[in-house]
Amino acid sequence: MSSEISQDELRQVVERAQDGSLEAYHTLYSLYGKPVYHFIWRLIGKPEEADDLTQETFMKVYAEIGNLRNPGQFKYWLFRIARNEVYQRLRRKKTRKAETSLDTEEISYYDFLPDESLGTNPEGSLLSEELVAVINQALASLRPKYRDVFVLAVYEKMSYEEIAQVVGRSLLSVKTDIYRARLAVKEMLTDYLSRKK
Amino acid sequence: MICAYWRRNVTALIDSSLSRAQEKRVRTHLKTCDSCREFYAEQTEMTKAVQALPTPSGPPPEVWSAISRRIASEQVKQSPAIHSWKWWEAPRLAYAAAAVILLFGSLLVVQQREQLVVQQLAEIDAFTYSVQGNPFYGEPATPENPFFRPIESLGQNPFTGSRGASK
Repeated sequence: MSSEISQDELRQVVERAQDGSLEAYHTLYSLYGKPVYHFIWRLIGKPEEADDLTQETFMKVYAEIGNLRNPGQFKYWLFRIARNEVYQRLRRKKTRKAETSLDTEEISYYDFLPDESLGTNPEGSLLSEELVAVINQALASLRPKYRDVFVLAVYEKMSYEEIAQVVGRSLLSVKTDIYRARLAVKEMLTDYLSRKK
Repeated sequence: MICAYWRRNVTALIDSSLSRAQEKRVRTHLKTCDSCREFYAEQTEMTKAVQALPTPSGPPPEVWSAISRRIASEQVKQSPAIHSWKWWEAPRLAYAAAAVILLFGSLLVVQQREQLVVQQLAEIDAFTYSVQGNPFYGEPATPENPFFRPIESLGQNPFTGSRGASK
């Protein structure tokens, strides 16, 4: 999570963006473009859709930033917009699929594989592609309300208080949902590992 | 203590979402509960595996290019900032405020005029009474003396033996 800016500085940047400063808006994109992109990518699973949804998220931010009452809440507000954009896209896909019924392919959130555009992670290189696929499948199988809190906690490393602000649920509910999501992912991994033995 | 309760806190511990006091309690529990300790180890391992998934470096530069192009072409209109909103600049509120001020102002004028009329009438009355006397003001009626009775009503005089007043 980008935290190279103090809360006061962030507040000032947001206020300047609210007054129409494109430079301030670009600063916000520089600060949060990457974590938002990662978050969307983890939720939707496809890089090209993540590009598109990141663009849509920041367009909505540009249009609506004037309505943000508390500039200090910008981060949570931004992630909430990103999350809503992903859900809207998934809902539209689901509806379209139900309407046509020609497309028999499942909506694959996590059918991506590492490519040249991906950063390299020393630990990641130790994982077999199969294990990566299993983890992806486990995340994809989670209900959306578990998936978003899981991604925010495990990948974005947000605190549970911050996650509660983003998803608009109570701290207790977030805690329970993350616990359940973790159990589900762990169960799928255990199945995979026991099959391997 | 039920382990399900602790395990929610164990996952919160892994996600660094506990207060110092809570963390201390969970760590104390982990020392005494094999099952929770095993759960902690599994979850930590799983977290590392999941976090080790390859991640993209960030949004490609085309994303910002597209955003700035759309902004420049004015496809998106920015909503006015709430923090710079001034209530008196909103026409509806300004009209409403003006109407309220006008209403109270006219009520005040009417009230003052009524007071002036009452005062003038009182002055006229005062002058008239000073010349003619106050028709509403008279000597108070003498109350009836309860000890006084006409002598005729007394009956026979015990000293003279006659009836009525003695001559």
